[in-house]
Amino acid sequence: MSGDSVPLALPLSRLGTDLREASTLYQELREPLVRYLVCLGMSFDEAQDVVQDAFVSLQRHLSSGGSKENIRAWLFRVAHNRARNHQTSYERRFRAPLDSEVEAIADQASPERAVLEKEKARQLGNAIRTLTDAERECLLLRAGGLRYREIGEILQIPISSVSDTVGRAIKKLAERCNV
Amino acid sequence: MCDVDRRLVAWLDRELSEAETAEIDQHVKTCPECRSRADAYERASIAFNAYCDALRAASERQKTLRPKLAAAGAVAAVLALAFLAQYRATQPRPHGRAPETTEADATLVGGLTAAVSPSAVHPLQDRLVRKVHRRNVVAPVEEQNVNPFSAGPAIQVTIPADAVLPPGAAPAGENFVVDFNIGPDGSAQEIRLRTQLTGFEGGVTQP
Repeated sequence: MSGDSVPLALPLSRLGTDLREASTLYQELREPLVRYLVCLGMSFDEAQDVVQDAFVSLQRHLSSGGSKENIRAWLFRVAHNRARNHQTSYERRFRAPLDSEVEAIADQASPERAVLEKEKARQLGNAIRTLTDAERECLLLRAGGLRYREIGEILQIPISSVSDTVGRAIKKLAERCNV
Repeated sequence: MCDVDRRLVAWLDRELSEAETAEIDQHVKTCPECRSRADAYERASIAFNAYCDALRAASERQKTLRPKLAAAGAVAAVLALAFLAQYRATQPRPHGRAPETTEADATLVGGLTAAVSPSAVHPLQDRLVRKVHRRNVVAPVEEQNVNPFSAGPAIQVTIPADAVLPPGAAPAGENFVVDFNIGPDGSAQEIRLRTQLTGFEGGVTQP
C-alpha cells in the first residue's frame, strides 16, 4: 500500500521505551484513521498528513509523560480536532458528489448486480447526507471499531448520548434505504 | 413498538450491561417484530460500513489518477513542442528573410520562451510522433475558420491519452488537447494544454 511509505520512522523511533508498541499502534490505527478522515470529507493526501501529525503529537504526548491509557481514542480525538479545524474539508464531508466513484466500485464488484448496487449506493448516500454531523461522526467512529465509551471521549459527549445518537442514526438509515 | 426498540442498536453493539443484554436476548426470541428490526439495523450498519470503505477506496483512486495525468500532460507538451518545431521549420520566414538558425522558438503563455531545435528532438519523441500519426489516432490539425479578431486558439491538436500512456493508465476516451496560435512571425503563441477527462471538463495544465 502506498501509505506504508509515509516517513514516520523518525518520530516513532523517538518514542524510545516501547518502539514495538508504537509501531504496532501505527500499523493498526493508520488505516482506520485515514478512513475516518476521508469519510469526513478530506482528500486522501490531507488525511495522510493529519494522521502523520497525530502520531507526531502522540510522540510528544508520551515523551512529556502523558497517559498511555486510551491511546486509540486519544489519536482519534487529535485527528478529529484537526479535521474540524480544517474547515473547508469539514464542510464538504459527505456532500461531495462521490456517488459516481461509489458507483464505479459497484460496477467492478459484480456487473450483473451493478444496477441494483448503484441504486442502493445512491439511496444510502442520500440517507447519510440527511444525518446530523453528530450522527455521522458517531457512526463513522463506530465503523472504525471504537466502543461507545471511546466515541464519547473523542466527541466529548456522555456515553448515553453516544448510545442515543448511534441508535437514532441507524434507525434513520434502515428506514430510508430499506436495506 | 416495543420499549426495547431504542436499545436494539446498543444490544447489537454489545454495549449493554449483562442484565440488559439478557433481558433483550430473551425478548427478541419471542418478539418477531423486534427480531426483524434488529436484522434491519444490522443490515444498515453493514451497508454504512461498506459505503465508508467505498469512499476510502475512491479517495485513493482519485489520488493515483492525478500524478499519472500530470506525467501524461508533460509527455503531451513535449509532443506538442516537437510538432510545433517541425511545423515551424517548414514555414517560410516573413519578409523573405532566410532563417538565421535552425532553432524554432515558441513563446509560451506567461512570457516563458522555449527553444526547440528540430534536429534536437529526441529520437524517441520523434518516433512517438510518427507512430501516433501512422496509427491515425491524432486528429488532423484543424485550420479552423481563423478570425483574426478572435481571441480563441487557431489550431487545436487532440492527442488521445491511449496514444501516450500505457494501456489502463487513463480512462478510455481521455484526451489531451493543445490549443495554440501562429503569430505573424510564424512563431507559435498562446500555447495552452488541457486535459479532457471523462465525465467532467478537466483542469488546465500550462507549461
